[in-house]
Amino acid sequence: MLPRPVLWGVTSASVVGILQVASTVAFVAIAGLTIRDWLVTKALSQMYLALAVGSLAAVSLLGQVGKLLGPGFTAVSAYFTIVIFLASGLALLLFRDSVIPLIPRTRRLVLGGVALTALFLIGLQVVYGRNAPKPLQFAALVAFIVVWSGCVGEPSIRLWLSARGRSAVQRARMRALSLGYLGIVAILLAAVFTASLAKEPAVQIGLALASIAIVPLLYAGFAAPVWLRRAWRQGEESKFQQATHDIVMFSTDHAVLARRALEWAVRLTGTDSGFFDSGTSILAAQGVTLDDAEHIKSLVGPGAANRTVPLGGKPPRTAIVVRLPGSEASIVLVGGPFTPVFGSDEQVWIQQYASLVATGLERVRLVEQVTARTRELESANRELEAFSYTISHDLRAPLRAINGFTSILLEEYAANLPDDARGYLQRVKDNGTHMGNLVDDLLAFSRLGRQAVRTQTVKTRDVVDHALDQLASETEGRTIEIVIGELPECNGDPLLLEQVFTNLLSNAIKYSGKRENARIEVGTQPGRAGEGPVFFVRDNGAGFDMQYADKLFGVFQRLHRSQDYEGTGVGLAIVHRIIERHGGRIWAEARVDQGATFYFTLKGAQEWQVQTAA
Amino acid sequence: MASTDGRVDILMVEDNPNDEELTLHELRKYHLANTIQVVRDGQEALEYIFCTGRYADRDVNEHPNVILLDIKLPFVDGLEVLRRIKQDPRTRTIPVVMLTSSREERDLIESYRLGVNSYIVKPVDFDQFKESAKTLGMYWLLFNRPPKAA
Repeated sequence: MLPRPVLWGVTSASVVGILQVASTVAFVAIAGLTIRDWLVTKALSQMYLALAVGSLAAVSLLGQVGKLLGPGFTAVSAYFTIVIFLASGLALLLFRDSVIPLIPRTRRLVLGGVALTALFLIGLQVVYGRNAPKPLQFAALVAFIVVWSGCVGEPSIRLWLSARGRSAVQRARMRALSLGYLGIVAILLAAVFTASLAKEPAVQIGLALASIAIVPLLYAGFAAPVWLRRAWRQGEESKFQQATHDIVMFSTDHAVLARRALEWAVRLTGTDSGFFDSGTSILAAQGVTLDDAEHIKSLVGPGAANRTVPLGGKPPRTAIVVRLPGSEASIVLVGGPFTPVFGSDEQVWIQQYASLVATGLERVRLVEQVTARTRELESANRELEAFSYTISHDLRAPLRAINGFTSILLEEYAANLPDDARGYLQRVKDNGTHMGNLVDDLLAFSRLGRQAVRTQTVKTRDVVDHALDQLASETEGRTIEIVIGELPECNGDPLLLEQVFTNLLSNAIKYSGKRENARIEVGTQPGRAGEGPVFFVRDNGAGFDMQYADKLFGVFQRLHRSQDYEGTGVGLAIVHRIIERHGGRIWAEARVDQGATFYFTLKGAQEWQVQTAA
Repeated sequence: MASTDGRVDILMVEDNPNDEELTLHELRKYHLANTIQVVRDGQEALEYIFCTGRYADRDVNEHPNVILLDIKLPFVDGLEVLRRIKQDPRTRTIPVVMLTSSREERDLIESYRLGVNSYIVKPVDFDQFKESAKTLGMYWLLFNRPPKAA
């Protein structure tokens, strides 16, 4: 509906003509870009944008075609022009609706208004053609301007206002778009109010220049090129990095993480407020009360998709639900009347952000789990300690009484007792002593579990010698050939290692007790790669049946009858636990009546090799 | 069991009558048990040592030669009794021997930290038990010379 050019002078006419053609070309080009965008993204909002700009380009194109084909065509095309122009306004409003939902009542009102206006204008054209009565023509013009300006002006102002606090790219695009559309409204209004001067070439040139000036703005708004977006975004990058770093690295628990993630989500998207929903409860809220957050949560309902939900109310609010991938949690951002538009750019950004927050959430969950488990373990350990303390104290007291009083009976009243009574008393005493040993061994075993392993370089030979000294009473009166081979230094806890050798040697002495030529050998042999030397203790004693070998290292497990060999069945369990705590392994080879060999390695054996090499 | 002049050689704090009887039995053998005062819990021990409550008429400066103290006691435990004895300048010089079932390292360390004079684990084996009772009585009653009461 651009004013028809009228001759003033050859020069000005061609200038106006060229400018008008240029503006048409520019509109068509931008329409092409937006339509391409729509075809790429297939998004509803992009379709509305394509429709909004495409229809503007179509109106401009119809004007140019009309100039070429003359008044006959213009009379027909006027119908289309009206419809297309109204559609352009409506499309922009629907674009706004697809990203910032309108209140349903408003939407119905607008659709009704546009339809009525279109019918009214087309009806007028059909009934009167170009010769409608003045009042009707005036009414039609006013209705048209009000409806179209409303459709275009509202989104433009909304875009401008909600650009505040947005990411730089969005802000720049929205402002460009807003200015572009406001410019079109201004041109339309100017064209109408200067209708009487429409034949003045100066006015025509001015209007044509203005519509060309709008083109770069629309270009920046609709199809901002990558270089422009990068330039806009630069300042944002560090902000975003700082946010994610803060959230992922420095959040110690759910509540802290939720608070920070929400704070930055609100800051980065430029919304007014929001809350962090763990899926079961609201972990943090900003700018809304907890009750309000619960209320909004019930309004947006459950669902796995990111979505935008109008909340209604006065002033109307909008909720943007951002799901955190891989969890039940979501961040719900709440915007007031000027809720930001979420373009595809920002969708990607917020999605990235959500992934990072989800990662942080997972990290915090693991940290919390580890903390809880540690607490449980500590408590279990304390209970165990209390338990062994009780055993240590309370179980020993009655044993002492049993032993004590039977001993007194045996020593001081033996003369008054028949022989078998003395024998029974001796059994009571022996059993008491045995139980005392069991309790002591069990305590030693349980203490091993919580005792720290203090590793240092150990002279293995010294440890073995010391262990043999300790066992001197057990070898008394026996002839045992003890062969000690090459024993390299090793890394381990010297006291615990001595316990290992003491127990293994004590077993060797005990189980070779029925041999006349008892022989015990201590030495090393090469182990597997990275394992260091394998230590062994070998005897030629009673041995054991290898089919029971799996029971060898269990607590209270015995492979010999107690009347044959005394023992509590804890010694090898202690050895096993010590080797285990050093990070080594232990195994045995034996044959019944052919003797047994116990092998073990220590984790530190490899470090020993490095030390000797140096 | 206190001697006629009110002097007590040994104060034994023991809640287990079996252990009490066994200890006394051994001390008696060496004629060391004439002047033993036995109390059954930590509260009574404190009352005796600081001359309060049931023992209000006793003289706080009349020190036993040695106190045999169990760790696990009703009302007030042995470590607390020890702490109170070693904190008070009037009683600090009394030798205290922990005679206990506890083999726990931390009890031993805590006892020495509080200033115990000796720490003996009651053996289950009676021969060892006899030996310790005898050594204990001999050492603290016959050989050791405590300082004069402050």
